[in-house]
Amino acid sequence: MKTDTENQADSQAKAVEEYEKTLERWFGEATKEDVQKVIDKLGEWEKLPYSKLVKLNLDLCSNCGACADECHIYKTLPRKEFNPVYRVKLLRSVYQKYFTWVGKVFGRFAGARKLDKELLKEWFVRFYQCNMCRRCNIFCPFGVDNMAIVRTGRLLINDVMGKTTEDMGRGVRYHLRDGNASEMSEAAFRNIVSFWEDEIKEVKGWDVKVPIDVVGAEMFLIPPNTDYFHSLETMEGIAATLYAANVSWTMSSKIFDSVNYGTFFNDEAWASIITQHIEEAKRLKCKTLVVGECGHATKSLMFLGPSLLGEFPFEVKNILQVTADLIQHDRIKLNKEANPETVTYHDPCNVTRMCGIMEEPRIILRAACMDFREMTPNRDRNYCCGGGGGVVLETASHDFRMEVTGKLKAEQMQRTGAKIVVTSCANCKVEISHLIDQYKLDMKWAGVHDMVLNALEL
Amino acid sequence: MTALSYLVIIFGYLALLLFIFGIIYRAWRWSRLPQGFSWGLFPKPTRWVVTSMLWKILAWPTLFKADRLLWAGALFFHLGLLVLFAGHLGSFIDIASLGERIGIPSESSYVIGITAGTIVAITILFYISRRLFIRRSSEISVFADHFWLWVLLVVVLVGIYSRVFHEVSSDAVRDFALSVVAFNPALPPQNFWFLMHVLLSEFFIIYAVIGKPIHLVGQLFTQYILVSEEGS
Repeated sequence: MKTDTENQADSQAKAVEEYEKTLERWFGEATKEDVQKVIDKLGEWEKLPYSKLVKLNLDLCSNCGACADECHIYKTLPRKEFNPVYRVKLLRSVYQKYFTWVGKVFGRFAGARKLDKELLKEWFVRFYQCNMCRRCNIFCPFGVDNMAIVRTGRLLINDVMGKTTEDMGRGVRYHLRDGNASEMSEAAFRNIVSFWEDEIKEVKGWDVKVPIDVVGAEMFLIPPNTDYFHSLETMEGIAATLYAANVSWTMSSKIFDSVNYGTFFNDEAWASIITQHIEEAKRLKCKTLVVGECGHATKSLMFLGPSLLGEFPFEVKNILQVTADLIQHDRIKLNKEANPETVTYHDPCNVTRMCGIMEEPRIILRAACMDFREMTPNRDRNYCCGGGGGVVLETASHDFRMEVTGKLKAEQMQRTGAKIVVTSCANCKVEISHLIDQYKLDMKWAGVHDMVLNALEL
Repeated sequence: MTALSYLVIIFGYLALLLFIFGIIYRAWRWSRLPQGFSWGLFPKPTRWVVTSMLWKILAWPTLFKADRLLWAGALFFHLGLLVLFAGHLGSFIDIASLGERIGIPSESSYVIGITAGTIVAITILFYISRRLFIRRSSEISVFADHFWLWVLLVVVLVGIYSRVFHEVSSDAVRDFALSVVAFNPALPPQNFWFLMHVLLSEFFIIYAVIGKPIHLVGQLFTQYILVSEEGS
């Protein structure tokens, strides 16, 4: 008879093994030419988008392992291959072998490794297991950053072989073709918008009309595609908030999806998608491009975009900043009693650690809820939900996320004793909803603006 | 002994050359790499960028949060090295009288040196045992990680041994060191342990430029990017 711990270990091992097999299948087989091209590309440091910090990281990481216990994946399943240093070493060993003379002369003694087909396959598997949450960076004395390393590895493979994970790759293809990642037509978009309007009418009794394609509106809002089918209340809350505050805003009937999966693995796709966003914002002549409750899109539009493509002729904000500002300027009225249950907040890595939006959601939740309770740790030291880095986008990663990457978050959520876990990132919402089901947690999940919708008064 | 003396002199110049130009070269290579994507990582200091950078570089608050034992070990290790470095400046300048001016009697240099050396040796043993017995560290350590810790340990132990049992007069050391710096090398003091100490140190200095100890310089770049970069 096996104990609970043994059973858990078994199911974890099975989940890891199955997802690894799937990742290996997606990768397929590399050719010798692929391997050589990857090496050549690695040699062209100047052209890699994260070149400076990655090179410094590879040169400085001293294999101390201080980051390991800070990684939610390693903490849950302390296997060598989940150690953040191991992931750094996958890239560094190859870098040493071909581009440092210590590696060339001393080879394996110095930790250098020849890149071959098998190692390249391992790159793919390991780099797509990482959530790219950057928590290790916070704790590393040298600022070594798995996100940068992992993205570089993914990018090299994708550039040379065109490989990425299944659903994420499909999302990017759709995005480049249709302007959104979920094959949504303009008609479907308009249908859902009127559904939001009907819902607001039903819940609040207000005749909210979502402005579409209004040239010259102050704000141009792009929510993530999940707000159209997974977390509809979030977008209803946003529309109601902007209506209640009498803000001049618009959405676009063409570009209505903020997500940009290129952020996770491919620069060209990333740049094309972000250009769609920028061009539409220019066409609509908005003053502010507002990203909905979406983490990676906020990072992508707020920081990555301007740093590679130059300053935009408009400001970029996240909707949390807009709403917090409206609250602080008394432009909307919230009745806390509409949300009497205990609420906790999960800090999405992209919103918090990578965009610095930490206090805004707290301002909103404290104004909209009777009992707001912090999760520990929180803010910049939060743990990833387990779906970061595009891992949650894969249907096939479900068991891996539930058993390994998201386990710590499930325990953390449960410890708060809250009845509602609120978060402000579409991917986190999907992951958290799965965790609640998987661990049968006595709680619901919601977006920040779901709570605002309940509490909003005219 | 003479062969050893020549080795000490040759590697001395090599170490000096590599140390100076190696560090400049590496810093230059890092500095000319394009920044690429903005590296926003929050929270960022809105003021006191230099102070926060120095705080991160000198006090390692992030390591303190992650692993206090390693933080304490590393602190003693680096402070010990700093004291040893200051003491070894005595090979070039008369630090004894300098020390006396700030209230450190020259007789205490022996005690200070041996204490600092012992602290460094103990902390190296701590590093080594981490790499051997703590799983998250041992599973990712390679030969080079161990090797250079052992080399440094031997450098320190030989240094302590020669100071205690085969002391060379500081004047003789200074005469030799200054002759090397003046590109007119005299024969070093003929003491096997002293010569071994110097030769091994020279190896370590060469390694420091190409290996991990370069973090002393590289840190400046990384922390600058993380603390001050656009995106704050």
